[in-house]
Amino acid sequence: MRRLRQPSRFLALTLALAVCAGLLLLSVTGLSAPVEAVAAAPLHGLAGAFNRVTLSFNAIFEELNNLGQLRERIAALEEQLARRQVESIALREAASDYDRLKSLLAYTSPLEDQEFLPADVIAIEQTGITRSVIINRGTRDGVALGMPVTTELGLVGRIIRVSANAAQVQLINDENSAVSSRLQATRAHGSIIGQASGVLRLTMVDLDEVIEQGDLVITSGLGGNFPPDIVVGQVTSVRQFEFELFQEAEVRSLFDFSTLELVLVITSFEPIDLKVFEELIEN
Amino acid sequence: MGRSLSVVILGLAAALSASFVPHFIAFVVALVGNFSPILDGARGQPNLVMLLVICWAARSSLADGLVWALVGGVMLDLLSILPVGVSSAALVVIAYAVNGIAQQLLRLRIVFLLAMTGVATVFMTAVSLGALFLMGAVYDIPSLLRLILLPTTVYNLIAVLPVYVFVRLLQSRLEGGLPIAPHSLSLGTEMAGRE
Repeated sequence: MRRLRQPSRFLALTLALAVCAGLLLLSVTGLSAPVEAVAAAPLHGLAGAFNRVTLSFNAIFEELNNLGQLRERIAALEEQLARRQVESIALREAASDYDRLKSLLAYTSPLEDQEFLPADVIAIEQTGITRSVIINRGTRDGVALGMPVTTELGLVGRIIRVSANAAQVQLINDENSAVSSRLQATRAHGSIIGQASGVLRLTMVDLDEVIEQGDLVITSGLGGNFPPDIVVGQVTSVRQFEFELFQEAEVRSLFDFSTLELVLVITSFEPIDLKVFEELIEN
Repeated sequence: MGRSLSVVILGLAAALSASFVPHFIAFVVALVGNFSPILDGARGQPNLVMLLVICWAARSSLADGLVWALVGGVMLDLLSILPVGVSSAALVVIAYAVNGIAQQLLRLRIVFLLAMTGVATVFMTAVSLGALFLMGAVYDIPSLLRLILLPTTVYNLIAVLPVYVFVRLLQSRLEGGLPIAPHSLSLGTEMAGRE
């Protein structure tokens, strides 16, 4: 063991303190600034690396520490979410109803001479043999047999059965349905009949008439079953054979019959019974 | 070997003091702060560099202790706002005192180590405050005593024992590459003799 004597110890201390004073002097005057910068660089790098690692661990510990609180928070948020989802569904339904009613209002406003009764579709024919729907309006609301039913996008059908608070509507794509129609562009008359496939077919159009794809088909009002100028659909294809007396066209309705929710019953329209004239002719 | 090793060890200690230790202390304070009024709002932290210098100076020659003090002080000042040389001067004085007293003892006792750590902590804080005061900084001394000096002393008193164990193991591994300590730490009575 090497032990320094007391004078040597004091000398060592003095020397060390002198070094410190020199360092201090250089540092205060700024002369050692470049050297300090170089010397501090690895220390800063090391401290930065430690700091990053520590912060990572810190984050883990904090997360572990907050685990219980987070679980409670998640449970509370899930409960809130469930409540909001219920509200959201109700609001979406309301918004959807609003949009539909707004469209219907836009449709009915220009037709001031007509009276419309909104109705909800409450049932759809289940058998698939006939195409009809049941609405929640009946005789109490002024609904009567034969009244036309529409949407803002076009003709739906007509009332074929009615009770006090409900009515059955035969859709125009039913095989037993026939609607007197005409092409909007050429005014050519024809008849819209339903097909088993659900497609509408325009028949009884003279061969001389020109039918173009995309032509709009509207009710003609002939026969007295429907008011005129209600949109029925749009021509998608034309069939014309020289050996036939009439030409035909396939028509697509502007709405999907399977997703009907809200319809309008035209209560101001009274179907005209032409049987009287037929009987007179027969007699 | 021990002197060149001082750069690495003290550099690591300074970097840890500037990064890991504050986070660790904050974690501890958050954990036990509710139970300990001393730690409530405390900002202090253990000074690993100072503790290493104390332990090294207590177990080695004065020359080695002074080298460790000089290097440690530079490391501390490079990572602080103090001018380089302030901490070195304080640590040189501490290393001189610790080594001088340790030379007079037959065995190092925990009480000695703790007492030296406490006094050194106060001295280091006073020197740092004095330097900052000369640089124009003004502090509320009572608050500093309560929020920094007191907790720092507590942390240093706790940390000095593991640091001492680390230094002792390190010196044992170096095996005669440097002058071995004049004393070993005794837990109260007769625990370990001189190596």
